Amino acid sequence: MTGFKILSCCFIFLIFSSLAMSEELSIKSNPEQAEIYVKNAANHERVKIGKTPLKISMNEIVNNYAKSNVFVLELEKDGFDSYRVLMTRTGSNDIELNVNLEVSKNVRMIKDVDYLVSQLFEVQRQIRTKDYTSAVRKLDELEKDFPHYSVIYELKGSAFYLDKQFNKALNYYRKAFGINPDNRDAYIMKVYLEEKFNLKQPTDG
Amino acid sequence: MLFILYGNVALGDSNFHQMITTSLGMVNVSVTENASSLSSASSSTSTTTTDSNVSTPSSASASVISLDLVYEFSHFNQKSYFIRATAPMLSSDGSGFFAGSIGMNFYFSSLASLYSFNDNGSTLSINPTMRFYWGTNAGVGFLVYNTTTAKKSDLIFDLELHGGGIMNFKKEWGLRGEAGLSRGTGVSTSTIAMKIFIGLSYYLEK
Repeated sequence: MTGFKILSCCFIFLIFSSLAMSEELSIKSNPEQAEIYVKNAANHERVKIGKTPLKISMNEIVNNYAKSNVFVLELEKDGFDSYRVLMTRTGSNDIELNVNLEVSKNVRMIKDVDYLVSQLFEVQRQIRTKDYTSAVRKLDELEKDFPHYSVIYELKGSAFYLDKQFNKALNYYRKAFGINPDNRDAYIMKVYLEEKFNLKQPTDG
Repeated sequence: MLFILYGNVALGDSNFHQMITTSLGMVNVSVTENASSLSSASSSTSTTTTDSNVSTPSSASASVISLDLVYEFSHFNQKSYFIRATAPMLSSDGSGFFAGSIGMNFYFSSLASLYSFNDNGSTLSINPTMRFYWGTNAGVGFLVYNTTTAKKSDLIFDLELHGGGIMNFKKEWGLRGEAGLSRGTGVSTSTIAMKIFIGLSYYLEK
């Protein structure tokens, strides 16, 4: 009878400890349905293991996919930057990974350019209606967000030119041409204003 | 020394979660009164006189069901610092053991606590499912015990060595078992205590 009790205790302990020792890897992402890859850190072999959200035992990853205790976990989704993290099996741990996928740089750039173009259309409309003050104000705002676009300075030059502020116009045409020497319209206007008002181009030194 | 201890505690990794444990268990204290040269007239009635002027020490033991609270407040990868309070809950003869101490635990081949890391909205948390540890703590205790004829008490300095395990059954909750042995030196007694506790541990927010 005593032997049976001891055996029962051992059995219960084994069940509990095996439950506690089973390591689980839980992977979630925002947005969901990102593809999950496991890459062997030594030979860089990459295997797809599923899509987020995913719960998988660490044993399965190590034995069936990574074939190593150290591996790289990669999450990929169209339109988002891929996410990589190096993982290692250490003791009996449950690992939970919640990844906030960031929008891909290309998609972000497309959105930015789209916004810029729509704002420039608005500026052109303001210039056509001779609302030069509003146009310049909007261009000032755009200049803060997009300081490397020559078209903003060119349009500023045009607004000042049509407002008969020729010195300011010339400065902005020069700046537009300085940022982008391929901006032909800015160059033409710069030369035209320099010749018309006999303004000398600033020289170095 | 205190500065080094404070520095170590303050350097604990803030990505680890603090942990609190409430346990219930048995404390068995064996008390031996120190030999003293009290005169027989002033000695306790419990002592047996072998000499006309010297009293011999008596011994006693107390078994108390006790409540144990442990707050692990600073964690490193495999080490943690904690404070502990023990108070008696049930005793058949009115004896009891109150103790407060500070100490550290060393974990075997697992993290000391739940670790979570946040990087621009992406989070990684590593939760050790099964942990075994050993540790030591030192503190002061107040002991109430009964000899054959009198109820006595003493203030003791207690040094403990313990070992245990924590099995997590949910993300924040774990089942904790611990056994310890402590040696206490008091004003008029010296003690050896055996402690066994079982309880629940809970991770606090970082």
